[in-house]
Parts: sequence; structure tokens; C-alpha cells
Amino acid sequence: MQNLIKDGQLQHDDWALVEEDTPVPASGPVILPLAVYRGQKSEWDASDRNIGVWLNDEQMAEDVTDSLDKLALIALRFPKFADGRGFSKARLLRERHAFAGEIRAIGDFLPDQVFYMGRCGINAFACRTDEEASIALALFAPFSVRYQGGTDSASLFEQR
Amino acid sequence: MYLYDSFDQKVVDERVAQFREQTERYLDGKIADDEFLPLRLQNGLYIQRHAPMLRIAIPYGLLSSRQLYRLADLTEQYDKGYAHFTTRQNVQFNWPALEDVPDILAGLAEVQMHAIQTSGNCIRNTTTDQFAGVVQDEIDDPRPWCELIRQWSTLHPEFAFLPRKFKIAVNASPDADRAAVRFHDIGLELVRDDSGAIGFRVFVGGGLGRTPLVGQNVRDFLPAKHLLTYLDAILRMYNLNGRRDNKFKARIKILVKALGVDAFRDRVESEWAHLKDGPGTLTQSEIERVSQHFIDPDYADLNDADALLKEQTANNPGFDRWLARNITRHKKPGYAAVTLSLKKVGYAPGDCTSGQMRAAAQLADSFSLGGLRVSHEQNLILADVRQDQLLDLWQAAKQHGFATPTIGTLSDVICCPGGDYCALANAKSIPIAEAIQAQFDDLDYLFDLGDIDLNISGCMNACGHHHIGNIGILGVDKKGEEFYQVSLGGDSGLNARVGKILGPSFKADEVPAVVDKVIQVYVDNRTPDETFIDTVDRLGIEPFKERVYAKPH
Ligand code: HEM
Ligand code: SF4
Repeated sequence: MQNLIKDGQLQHDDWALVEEDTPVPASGPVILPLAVYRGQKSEWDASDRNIGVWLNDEQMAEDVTDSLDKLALIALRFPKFADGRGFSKARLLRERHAFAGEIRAIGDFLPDQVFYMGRCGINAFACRTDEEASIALALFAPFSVRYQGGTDSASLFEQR
Repeated sequence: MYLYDSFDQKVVDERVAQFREQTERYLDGKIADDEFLPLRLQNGLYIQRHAPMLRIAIPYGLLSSRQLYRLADLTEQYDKGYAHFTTRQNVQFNWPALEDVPDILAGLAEVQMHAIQTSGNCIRNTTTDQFAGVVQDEIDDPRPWCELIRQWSTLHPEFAFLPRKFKIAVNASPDADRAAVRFHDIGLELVRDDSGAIGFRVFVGGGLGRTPLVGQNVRDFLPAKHLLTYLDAILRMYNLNGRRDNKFKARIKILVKALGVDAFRDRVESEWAHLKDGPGTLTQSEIERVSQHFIDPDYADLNDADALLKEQTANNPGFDRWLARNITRHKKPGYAAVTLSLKKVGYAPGDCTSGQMRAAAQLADSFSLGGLRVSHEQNLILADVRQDQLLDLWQAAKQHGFATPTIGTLSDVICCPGGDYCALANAKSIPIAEAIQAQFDDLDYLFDLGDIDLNISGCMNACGHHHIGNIGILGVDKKGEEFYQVSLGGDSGLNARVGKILGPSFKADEVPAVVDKVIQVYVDNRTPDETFIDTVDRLGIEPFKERVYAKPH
């Protein structure tokens, strides 16, 4: 599999994504369901493993803001590409809560969405297929002008 | 009007390239139909009953003659030689081929036009008063604010996949609301505070469709420089909390209603507390840069031409009617704003052939400094005409079928495309409009009846705004047959309210007679100078109901 783009490049994925009903692997970096993480937060926080958490569509940025210094990665799961909540969550994590770790899009999203996602602070993309990942690589900068500010640049009017 | 600089031009050019590549990938079978859908919708492309339909933005209704000439060319090159002006200051092509759409968009980009976000679940074209900038009673010109909103909303990375579509309208007249701002997701009213500073009163949660609701006052005064951060706060709240499980409950109006306006306001304000004075805050230099594009043209120093016009009306039968209905007062003495009617009987309301587009563009060049406006009543406006040239303009307009002197009357029907074009329709709407116009073809009578808004929609999506017509007609389906429900008393203006349904629905061929009976009740009961809507208000709908549903003796 080569479906992960991180910081603009195809990358090998070291992280294991743990679903709600599957056991947590014994070692290595893991992306946990929020409930699993919350259930034993102090133990996960104390462990020397790399810990990430994924949020489903109903879970909000505020649900992890007390753990941002412990988490290396937050994944936002897109239940359907038309569901845009993840865009706002990513911006809140970056701009309001100053999360500096990896924010990763997972689930059902389109290569054509990575530009906007990137502007909202998502920097890693687990595409649905390898082919889509290679398509997405070419779609990161369809626009050279940005009217509004994002996590990547100030608004055009601040620069004019 | 706003002229693109190199940045703005780049945005539309790059958008064309992006959509060209997406279309190629789709035609190669590399994007599934349902995944191409949001991509094409955000470029205005619907797939309709007959063919794709392309909706092109006319931002807040402003159009140059050069742009209109280009639209005429494009309809001939890629469509059937006509287009349709809509109730939201857009224009639609009804028959383009999907493969041609990137070329059409490229042709538009050359004249600083686009179809960005004219459909889909994103922030749509911002609309305003068709007389913005030329009417006397304005607080301030709304157009710079509309342009600032246009730029802010264009390719906004956070709000391209909202629960549902999102429409913003701006009004700047304290005495009238020609933009129906209380029926938009966000309605903005320009106001001044005690110190004279400009700001906005903010309404949220208006809309028509299945659940017609009047927008609620969320803020009495928003200082102007905070406009964009406040919009960001509202949109973010909606993006995160609006319903996504049921598309009929997904508009922001449902969220406002569910939370209650006070709780809604609290949540917006607490979001805004983080954004206020942040990087999205408008700078004075940006406000000035955009406003520069809307300063008054070099008007001649004139006096009102009352004497001349009086003399001309005496010698030109019909001219006085046209002056009475199709002319709007201008803030500059000696000038007038003229509405070119697209409501000629026998033609679909809002339809315009390529020949008419060229004619209108030429009239704009000859009589109105090369500029036009598009109104939500689906007419064209020449906003800067010298009064001493009105007679010449009237004569030229007559030749092209633009001089129907019925603006604001029963015959100035607002109508959606309905069953002739639209796959969602329950019933046809254009033939109903035509039948009503034919029933009321006596100009003296229409004149005497005065201002009446009549709106027709082919289904409850309400594209023809039937809820807010003084008389509203809605196509409904009864066991596979087309029927029409009639409502009375809707109002799109400052007294925003939804009309009341008269009773059981009618067959198509009964509708003109029903409207006729409604009008008779008005004529029989009105007091001197009382408008139709005021009579409906005073009497309630009972007398109308009685007359319409009375059994023949
Ligand atoms: C021909 C293809 C068209 C289709 C398939 C279509 C579809 C729809 C749908 C589904 C809605 C309801 C959306 C909702 O409730 O959230 C809607 C609303 C609307 N449409 Fe259309 N429409 C079409 C053409 C037009 C035209 C030609 C106009 C202008 C004359 C128009 C103006 C509007 C307006 C103003 C609304 C908003 C009503 C509101 O505020 O809820 N539409 N349309
Ligand atoms: S109101 Fe209904 S019939 Fe008319 S255009 Fe809209 S969706 Fe189509």
C-alpha cells in the first residue's frame, strides 16, 4: 500500500489504525478510537509509544483539547466526502488549540478535496486507494491565489 | 463596477483549468458519478430533464455590456441561442453539452465572469438591490460589501461542503427591501449607529422551500470591519452543527429554529469571540480599495426633465404608462433607472434570446454608461439613463420587446422553469404564467390594479418564491395530475411574511379564473389608494376564499 500522503509526499505508513471493535496491537504507533483512549487516558499518556486518536463525524475538536500535548496525531474520519465538518475541526485544532502534531484525513474523501483540506491544517491524507493518492499528489495547489486566510497563508487582502 | 486585477483573474483562470482536468477525468471514467456531482455543482452544472444546465453568476446583479455580448455569443456557440435570468441574479443555459462546459467557462473568464459556487452545498452568489448605488434612500452603497463577501466566499476552504446550500443577501435601503434579505440564510441590512458609523443588522435562518421561515434578528449592529469574521463564526457554527442526516432539515433555518434564536446567537457570539479582531478583520485600505470600484460615474450636471417629459407624453401615446411603471427615481437630478421588461406575454419570464441580449447591451452602451443590472424579478435594468433620453430609449426598447409597461404589476410574474425544464417539478409553471398574463392583458386594468407580486413555483422547492408573492401559485401533484395551490398575502419586503393558503388546489385551466376572482374581491373592497396587499391584510383571506370557492348558483 502506498496510499498515504504526508507533507506533500507519498510516505510509508507506520501507524496502525485501530477500529472500535478490534484489539489494540501490542507495540508500535497506534491511532485509537476516542473512547478507547479516553477509557485509559492516564495509561496511554504515560506510555512511551506514539499515540494518536481518531475522531468520528460526531466527535468534536473540544473532545481532545485536554490531551493535545500527549497526542502525536489526530485523525479526522470523513464518513462521506460531502460531510465538511472535518474542515472546521482541523482549523479549530490548528488555529484555536495550536495543535502542532499530524492531522490526518481518513475515511471517505476525494483527491479533489486535498487542497481545501490542506488550507484547513490537515497535513496527512490516507487516500482510499493508491491510485487516488497519486492523483491527489497533483491536486495540492490548483490555485495560486487565496482570498481568505487559512492555516497555510494570510488572506489576499492582508497581502495586497 | 468591480474590475478584476491580476489576482482575481488568476482565480477564475485557474478555476477553468481545474474544472477542465476534472471533466476529463470524469469522461475517462476515473471519477464516479456521485463523486463528480459536488465538483460540477460547485461550477454551476446541474444535470436536468433535457441536458445539463449551467448556472452562471452575475455577482449581486451587475453586468457590463461587454459581458452581456459575450453571454449572447456563448448561447449561440454552445446552446440554443437563449438563456434564462433567474430570481437569484444568475443566468442559466439550458442545453450545454458537458464536454463544452470548460470552454464555456473559459469564455466567461475572459470577461471576468464565472460559475463558481452557483450551486452545491456551499456559499452561493450574494444578491442585493437591483438599484444599489443609484437610489436616493440608501444608507450606503451595498455593492462594495457584496464584493467583499464574494471574494471571501470564493473557494473558501472551510465551507465548501456545508450541510446544505447557503445564500447571503444585502439590503441598504431603510424604506424598502428589494433583496428579500429576511428570506435568506443570512440577511444583512446596512445600518448606521449613533455615531454615524456603518455596520450591519444581521438576520439568520430565513428561507423558503419546504419550510418557509422568516430570518431572525441575531445582531442589531455589527461594525462593518467585523463583517467577515462574523460570517465565519456563523458558518462555522452551522458547518459543525447543522443537520446532515436529512437534506430537508439541513438548512440553517432548521438549526436556528431547533436551538431557538437566543441560544443560536449565544453560540455564534462565543465562536466569534475567538475570531473577532483576528486576521480576517477587514482593513480600512481593503474597504477603500474595493469601494473605489463603485464610486459614481461622471454624471452630467442636469435638472429633472419634468417639462420635457410632460410634453413628450402628450405626443406619444403609451409613453406615460411606461414612465409610470418602468422608471425608478435616481439619486441624481436629470437621471432615471429604467427596467427593461423580460415579461413579454408569450415568452417565459426571464428568458432572453441572444438577439435581445445584444440589443440590451447596445442600449446599455447608448443610454446607460455601458452597465446593466439583473433583478430578482427577472428583468434587466439600465441604471443611469438621462431623463432627456428616455423617449429615445423607450422607442428602441419597444423594438426589442423590452418595453412591456407592467413592472411590479400582476403581469410582471416571477416564475421558475417548472415542468418544462426541471426534473423536480410537480407541475409546469411557465404556461400558468402565460395564461395569467393573457387573462390580464388590458393595460388600463393592470394599471388600475397597481402593485401586485405574483409568484409561481413548480414544486415546493420554491424557486419562484411563491410563498412570498402577494399571490403565490404552487404546482402540486395529485395522483399524477398537475394541480395548483394558491396562497395570498406573502410579502418579500420589510414586512416579510409567508402567504396563507386559500384552500384546495385547482386544475391548470382554472387558475386564471381563480386569480380573476381574487382580483375582483380586491377591486370591490379596496379603499382609495389601497394596494392589493393592504386590502388582503385588512380583510384577511376569508372573503377571497368565499368568492373563489363559491358554488355557482
Ligand atoms: C431547473 C433546474 C432547477 C433545479 C433542479 C432547482 C432545484 C432547487 C431545489 C432542490 C431547491 C430547494 C433547495 C432547498 O430547499 O434547500 C431550490 C431552491 C431555489 N431555487 Fe432552484 N432549481 C432550479 C432552477 C432554478 C431557477 C431557474 C431559479 C430562478 C428562477 C431558481 C431559484 C431558486 C431559489 C431562489 C431557491 C431558494 C428557495 C429558498 O430560499 O429556499 N432555481 N432549487
Ligand atoms: S420550484 Fe421546483 S419545479 Fe420550479 S425550478 Fe425549482 S425545483 Fe424545479
